[in-house]
Amino acid sequence: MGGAMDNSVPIDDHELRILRDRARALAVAPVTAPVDGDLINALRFKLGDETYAIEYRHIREVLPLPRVTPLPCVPLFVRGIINIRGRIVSLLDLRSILGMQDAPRGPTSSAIILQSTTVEFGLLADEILGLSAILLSSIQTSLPTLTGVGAEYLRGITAEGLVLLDAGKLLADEKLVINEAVGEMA
Amino acid sequence: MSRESEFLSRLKETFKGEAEDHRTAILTGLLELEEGKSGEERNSVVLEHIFREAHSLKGAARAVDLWGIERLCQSMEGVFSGLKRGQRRPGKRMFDVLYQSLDLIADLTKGTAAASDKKLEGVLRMLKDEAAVGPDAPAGAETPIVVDDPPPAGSSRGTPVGMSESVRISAARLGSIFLRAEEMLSVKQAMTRHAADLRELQALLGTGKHEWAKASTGIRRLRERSRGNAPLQRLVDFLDQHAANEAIVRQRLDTMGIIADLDGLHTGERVDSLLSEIRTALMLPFSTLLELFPRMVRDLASEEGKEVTWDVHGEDTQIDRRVLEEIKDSLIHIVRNSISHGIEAPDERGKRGKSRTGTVSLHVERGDNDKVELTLRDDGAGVDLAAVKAAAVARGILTDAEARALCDQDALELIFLSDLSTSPMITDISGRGLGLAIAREKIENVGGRLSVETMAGKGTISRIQIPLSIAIFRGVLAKSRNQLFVIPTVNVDRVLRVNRSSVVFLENRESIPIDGHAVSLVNLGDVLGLKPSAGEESAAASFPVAVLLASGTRIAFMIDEVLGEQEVLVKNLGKQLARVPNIRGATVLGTGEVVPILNPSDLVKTVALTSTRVSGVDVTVPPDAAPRKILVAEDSVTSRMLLKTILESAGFLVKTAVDGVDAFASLRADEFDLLVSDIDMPRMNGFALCEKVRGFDKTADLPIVLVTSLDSREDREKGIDAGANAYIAKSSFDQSNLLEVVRRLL
Repeated sequence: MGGAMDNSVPIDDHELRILRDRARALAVAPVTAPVDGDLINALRFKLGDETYAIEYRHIREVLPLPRVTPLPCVPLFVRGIINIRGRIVSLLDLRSILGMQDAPRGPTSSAIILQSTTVEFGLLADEILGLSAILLSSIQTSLPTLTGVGAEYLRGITAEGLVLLDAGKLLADEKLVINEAVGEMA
Repeated sequence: MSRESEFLSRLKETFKGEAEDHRTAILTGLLELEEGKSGEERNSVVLEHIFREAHSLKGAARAVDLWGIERLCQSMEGVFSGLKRGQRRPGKRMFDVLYQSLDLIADLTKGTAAASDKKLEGVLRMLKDEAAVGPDAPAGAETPIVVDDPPPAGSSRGTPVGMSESVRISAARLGSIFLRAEEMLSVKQAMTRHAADLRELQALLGTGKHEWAKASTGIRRLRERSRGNAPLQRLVDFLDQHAANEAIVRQRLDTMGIIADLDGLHTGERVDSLLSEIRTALMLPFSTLLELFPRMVRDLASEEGKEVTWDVHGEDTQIDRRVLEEIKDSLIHIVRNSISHGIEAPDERGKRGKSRTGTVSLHVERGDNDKVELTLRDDGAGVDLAAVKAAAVARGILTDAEARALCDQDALELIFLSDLSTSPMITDISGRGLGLAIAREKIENVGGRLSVETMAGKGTISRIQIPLSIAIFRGVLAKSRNQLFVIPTVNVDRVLRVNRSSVVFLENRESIPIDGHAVSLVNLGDVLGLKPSAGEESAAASFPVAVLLASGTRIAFMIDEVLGEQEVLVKNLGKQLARVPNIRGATVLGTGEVVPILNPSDLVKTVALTSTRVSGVDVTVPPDAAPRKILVAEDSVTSRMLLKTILESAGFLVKTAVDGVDAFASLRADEFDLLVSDIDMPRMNGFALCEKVRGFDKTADLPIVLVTSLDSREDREKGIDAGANAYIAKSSFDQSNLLEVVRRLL
């Protein structure tokens, strides 16, 4: 068929990255930009009794939980799909990924939309607490609480008990991407 | 996805090394030939060597989809074979062209910018000239097989277009503009909903007007009595004021309702015309797809030793480029089937009183209701229904009695079953029932239909009906276990209410009679794995059923409720949900609610899979069975790695050997369940290996799959003689093809 049928994408990933970086540089006020390389900006949120944090640069947006449409034929950690201004985004349940007990959703439930160049999904949070800067050196990585189901997605824990999630790893993990045809189902 | 591309890039790295080896070998050989100091005998050895090197390079390039290199090698082979036959002597110009080709191969391997399409076409043309009309070529000599160089689609050919008349726009940009315009459908739906909301409000206030009228007498009396009673006076004043206000609101609401209706109408019209304009911009003539067919038909016919004329009518018919793209593979498959299965060999045709040359023709016609009708006709042998039935019985799909009772149309339907083939030898173009099933599924995925008619001895007609555009998607909104789903309208055969008393049990399955046929009845919720809602078992006397038709199968799905049918905008499920079984995508209703769109061909497959469990006994192979062991014999490191990866990813244990001798040593020392072997290998080739394996007690019954780039009829026959069970051409290594064949033999 040749050129006429090619689906050439107008902007490639590299250009997209440059544009994003530029946009980010313009968006961040110079005063709040981290001067110290050891400092990371993170969003704090509650999940059950625990407080978690996610590095801000992986977050596309945060929104109050919209109506969730459950999907059949997907693993338990996929809670369903949501509509963000006409776009469909899947919503994952961290409780299930981290092996925690299931709990009902409340009025403060929110969706944190994570994004990389290859994948995008929402995470269900019980309550958004706010932004804070975390000193990387203050994070402990070898505690017994950081073992068990889902430990691979945890970067460490601060002295205040804030658990830092590894959003990069969540986004890069192919186990979390569903690509199944009929007959391959467990 | 990314794993696949990572694998491909690793494969390409491996290929670079291998390509450089072949290239150097050809270069060294050419230099020796040009020097001309060696004797005749040495020259022919060198020629044979570089011919083989070019051939191996071609195979490896094909495996990594570098078609430019593949074509160059093919054309070089043409030149070499002319030399081999002694039809001509090499001249300086020929060497120049060959060196230029090798340089271009190096550029293409590295992917440098110097390797433009224009340059490739130029070099290919020169190679073709060299192969065809050499200085010493005897007049009327057999023309060596070389690649045609059709002008690349999308290049500036035909009449030049003036600047002011038209502009070029990339397909991706156009597609994205179309998606934006398609989003306007939700605006149209929202407008309709707003108008409906207003009408509801009007109705509500309308009853209020009535109430006020009823209360008016009471209010008047109250006013008479309220003289001197200030609080009561205020209350009456308030009521009056309120009645007046409500009248104003009512009036304004009436006006707004009318305006909303009109606006909705206008918006709808504008959105529809915008969409249809853009749809027109996405149209291409059918001929853009058909460009590749003449060569494909010719190549395949000559491979099979047949004579075939390819005939096309109506190629100017315009159609959405995305539909073209989607059905391309299916059409190729059906045409290949016609040549390979339908058209008989020339002698055979002569015996039957037909002309020696068969005809395969394609008629493209604009049909009713925004459809395009394709009719593909061949004047071959037709489908041998008896052989199809026999194959179905042999595979245990039908019992003898069932086969006898089957009408011709139903028997023909068997050719779409994925594991049925009437061909005794498995090759990748024919003998692979899987292809036709997939071809039909792809056509159905864009909302099309495929049907086949055949007349014994006279030929076969395949009719394909496809929509002009894939944008117009309609869906039936249905509820199952309190969840909403959209079923693509094209797959809905009908929707009906069924009385529980009409449900019959056939072979442990519930079914209902439709048009005199028993159609399996299943609960959609069960198929999707939804939890039964409370009280469901208390079963009403009748229930709604949606009969779906997909992949040639009709199944009745029990649902709770049908809410209607409407235009829907198909959205994908987001990047994290690349593919979900039974779910094709989602749509957003006018209310903002997200509803999953079902995938009917998946649903049919899911039902078929669960139906193999008879009375609770799982008849499928237990997954914990020991993995089967496969030996791969292949001299190209690129192809070896590719085969190994494909097989390993399907759960097989794989060991590799670099040639026939190495492979036979492994077979003697170790136990294997199957052998996959290349044909063209140093020391001992695939045919010799086959014979050796068959002659050796321990491996006499070992299934053998020959995988090769030598795709000719003689080779295939040679393969059968040598004792191979299957023969696959490695055109780009269709994974499912290889795995299908391997699984079938194990």
